[in-house]
Amino acid sequence: MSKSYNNNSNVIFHIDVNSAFLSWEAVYRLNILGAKQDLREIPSAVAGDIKMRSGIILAKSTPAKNYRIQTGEMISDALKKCPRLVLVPPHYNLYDCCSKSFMEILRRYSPDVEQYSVDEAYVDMTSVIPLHTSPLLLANELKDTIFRELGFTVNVGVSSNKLLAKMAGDFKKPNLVHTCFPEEVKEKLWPLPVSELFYVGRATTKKLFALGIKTIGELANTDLSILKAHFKKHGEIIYLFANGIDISDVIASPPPNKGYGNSKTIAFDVTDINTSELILLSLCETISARLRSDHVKVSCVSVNIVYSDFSHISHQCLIAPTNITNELHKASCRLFHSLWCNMPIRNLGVHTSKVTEDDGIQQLDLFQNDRLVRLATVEKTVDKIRLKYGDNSIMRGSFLNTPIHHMTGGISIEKKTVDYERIKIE
Amino acid sequence: MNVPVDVCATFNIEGKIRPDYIRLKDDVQALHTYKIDHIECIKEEHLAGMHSILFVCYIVVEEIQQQIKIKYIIDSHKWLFVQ
Repeated sequence: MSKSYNNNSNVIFHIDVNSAFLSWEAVYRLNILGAKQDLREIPSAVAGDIKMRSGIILAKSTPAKNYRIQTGEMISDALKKCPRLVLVPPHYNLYDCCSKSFMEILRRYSPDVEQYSVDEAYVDMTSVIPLHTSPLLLANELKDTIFRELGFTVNVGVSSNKLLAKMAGDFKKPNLVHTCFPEEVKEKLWPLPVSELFYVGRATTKKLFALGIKTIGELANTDLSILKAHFKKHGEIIYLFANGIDISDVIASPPPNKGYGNSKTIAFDVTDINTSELILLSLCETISARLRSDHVKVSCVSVNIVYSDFSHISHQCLIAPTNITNELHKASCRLFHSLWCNMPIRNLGVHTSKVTEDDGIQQLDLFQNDRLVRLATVEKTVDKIRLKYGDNSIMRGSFLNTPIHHMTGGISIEKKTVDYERIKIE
Repeated sequence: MNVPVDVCATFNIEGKIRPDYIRLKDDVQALHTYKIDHIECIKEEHLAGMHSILFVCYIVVEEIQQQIKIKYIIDSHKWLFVQ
């Protein structure tokens, strides 16, 4: 039994899949496609498509890590570091499937599972640790069950709060269980570089370094007033985290969305207004479908433009609560016209906020008669058709013979599945 | 690599699946149908989140009994010849 665990303390697990996207692809190739080579054992990475201007590394294997290949870096840069790097395309339908199965196993152990991301979760084990079992034994059993049933490895961090459990999970990878109870903070957490602490990003690290704070221990022993003076509220949070204090609970049901948005990096630079409006329409089409499926309306719309020189600009406006595509598109176009300075566009985004429940009441317009009511009926019918026959079963005529997909945003279709017949698999 | 194959199977009222016949290609790509004589073991798998059932069974090819492994992918309803 772990010497730092006493029966009165909370027990929180943080479970993180090792190199998730790559592991899932490796297990799929080995067990379903019958590949002989394990991607996890060679320098390999999941990467986007250079031609679609989304050519970045999304996940990499441990051997690729040894070449200092980093998540988020350009494919061309990664290939310079390791020319024999095996690149595999993303396969989001598979990730979705693996993530669901992973969460199902966690829920077998405890009902209090907070899905933190597609490959990460917190589990509150406080009330479910059986008698005469230590959290460490149970964490090992959980780790082994996931590997035996699903074929991929995870790291489990064990502690009495979410922060320490997450920090413990990141200690050493892959396929390991670590503890970091409050009594172990000095020994295990404090010697680590301050950049390793949760909530400390690149900018904060730079500022902390300038203050002479290089380790988590040094941060924990800094006067709180100094940190508050430099970082305001954020200073207090990182001070508490450095001391292993986190009072947040494991929240099993996700909080409602505060906003709905989509953006699209376009494969070519957009230089005309008609194409821009069409892209905005395709983004609004997906957003409004999500709003309607969640039975909510929004009353704030914002448009974001990234130009080809990577400079960006955004603007927002208020509208009557709606989830109708045409209304969102109308507001987006208005914002776009007030923003665009005729420069080539690389990325367009529409984001909505001020979410309210859809109570079925539509704000009437003096001059539109029952137009909005009729539009709402049409869109409900379109939603039903798409649900039954697929997203591409019905589309607006304005998208015919254009290179723009009628529902843009989220995960694109080409990233959801992979045509394995076109890929050489060893 | 695993190869998709044609399989003729029986589904009983309890939902149990039994592969009866399998059609395989020979070296010159000619198709041959073989009766599945005996199923040695069945294992349900959930690797990579994909529900599948692995059958280790025997067929007779030119009077020689051979052990083969075939996998039924439940979500896609496909049969794979495991190599």
